[in-house]
Amino acid sequence: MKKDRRWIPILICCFLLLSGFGMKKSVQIQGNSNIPLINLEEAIRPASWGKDGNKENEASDEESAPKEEEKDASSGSKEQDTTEKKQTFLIEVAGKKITLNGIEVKNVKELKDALIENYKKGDTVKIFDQYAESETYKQVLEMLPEVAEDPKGDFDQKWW
Amino acid sequence: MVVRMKSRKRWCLLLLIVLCAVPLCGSGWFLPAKVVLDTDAKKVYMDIPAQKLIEAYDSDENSAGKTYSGGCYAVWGKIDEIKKNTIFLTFDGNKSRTRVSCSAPSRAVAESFSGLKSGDRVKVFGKVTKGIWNKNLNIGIDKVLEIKDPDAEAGEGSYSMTEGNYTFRKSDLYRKNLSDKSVTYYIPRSWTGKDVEYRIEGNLGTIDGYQYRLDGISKKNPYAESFFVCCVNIEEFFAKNDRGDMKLIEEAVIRDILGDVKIYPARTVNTYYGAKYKYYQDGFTQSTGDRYQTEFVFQEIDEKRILMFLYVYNTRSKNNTNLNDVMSVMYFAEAK
Repeated sequence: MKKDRRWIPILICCFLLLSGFGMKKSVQIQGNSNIPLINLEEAIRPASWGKDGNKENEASDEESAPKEEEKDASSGSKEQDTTEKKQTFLIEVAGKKITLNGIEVKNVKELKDALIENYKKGDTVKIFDQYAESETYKQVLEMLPEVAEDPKGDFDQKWW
Repeated sequence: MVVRMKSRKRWCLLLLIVLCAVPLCGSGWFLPAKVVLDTDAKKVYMDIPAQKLIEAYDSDENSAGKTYSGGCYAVWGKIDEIKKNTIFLTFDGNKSRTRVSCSAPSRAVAESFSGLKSGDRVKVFGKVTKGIWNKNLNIGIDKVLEIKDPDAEAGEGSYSMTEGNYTFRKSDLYRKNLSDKSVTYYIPRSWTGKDVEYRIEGNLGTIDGYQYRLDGISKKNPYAESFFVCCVNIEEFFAKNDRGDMKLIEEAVIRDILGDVKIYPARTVNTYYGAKYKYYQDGFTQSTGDRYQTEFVFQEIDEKRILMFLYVYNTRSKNNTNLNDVMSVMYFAEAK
């Protein structure tokens, strides 16, 4: 090969390397391609627009926990706050569906885990059953004393 | 003949440079924009009284050095002396010679505490290091704030941030779990209302995680502002042959959420608290025409899971007042 043509294969190799020839450039998410991981169009709506189409978090007229006198953008305090904040947990049972503070939980076990991790002595728990004495409601009632035995403290039950 | 050969070599070299530049330009070889979720600019400092530091050092120098060196702390103490750009902290009743030496790294920082004097109570934010030649523990100052409330103290388990002299306790945060409790994070109580917290899976998408509509906290912000905390289960969403390259997986996640967008190179950050993040920034235009900035932060837990934080805010929003809380959520997130 003539000396001045030795450059050509070198140039071709460099170009192929830099352009990633032969390397995988992208991968795809498998499964249902119609539903995205996050539907941003649906998720991003200003709260000032009012109720959104998300039925799982439909507002109820009842007060939901935690109660705060004023919701501030900054949840910390400007000066050291030595008192512990009390909170209210609202459990709503409608058939097999259970929500804790408006967020659906998968089952009674998940509800129990969330309470064990976050309930402190002095907090209030309110339980509301849409269909009086449903099976799920009974399971929740049976579970609550187990949370009370958690070292965090006694359990204060109040319900309608 | 010789002249002609030299000219050909020059052209070949030029062609080589052009061919090299084309793929680099195509891959977006530009510096990414400034990140909003900047862990260095918005640090979470653990509160600690100067007394505790000094007593630990006096008790066992080496052990204190191992425990505290390298950590970011807000040291609460009394100014014993100020020398040039250094504040010496002590506490009431200190009988030892040990003091915490706090050095300003720049003139601007030194000037920020020029109005302080001996006897003032202050909170010094910075990174702790152990001195070698003297009896002092050292802090490289990020900021100094005067403590005006005489009753304020560094409580056990409390943390501070410099912006707004913001203080909170970890025990006041609400614990959340993802991925069958293998990922845990903590949110402020103000985020647990039905107007703020939304489960994604089954409602807003298929990923395991939660959306926090931060503009729903005070409802004063007319623009949407959201923070998402999610766990990407790689085995669930990617075929076996596609699981090897984390970068491609992250880009696929971004495209799935934002659509077919051009993705700019990630910025990798090793945080002061040990987490390693990859940042990607992009935009999202809603059907209403509103334009949002999106900042993805990926933390690769292992070959099966990626923890993803996503911050979305309107480009017209003047200030993001929830960033202290957002940074604290990132700071405390942990995976087993």
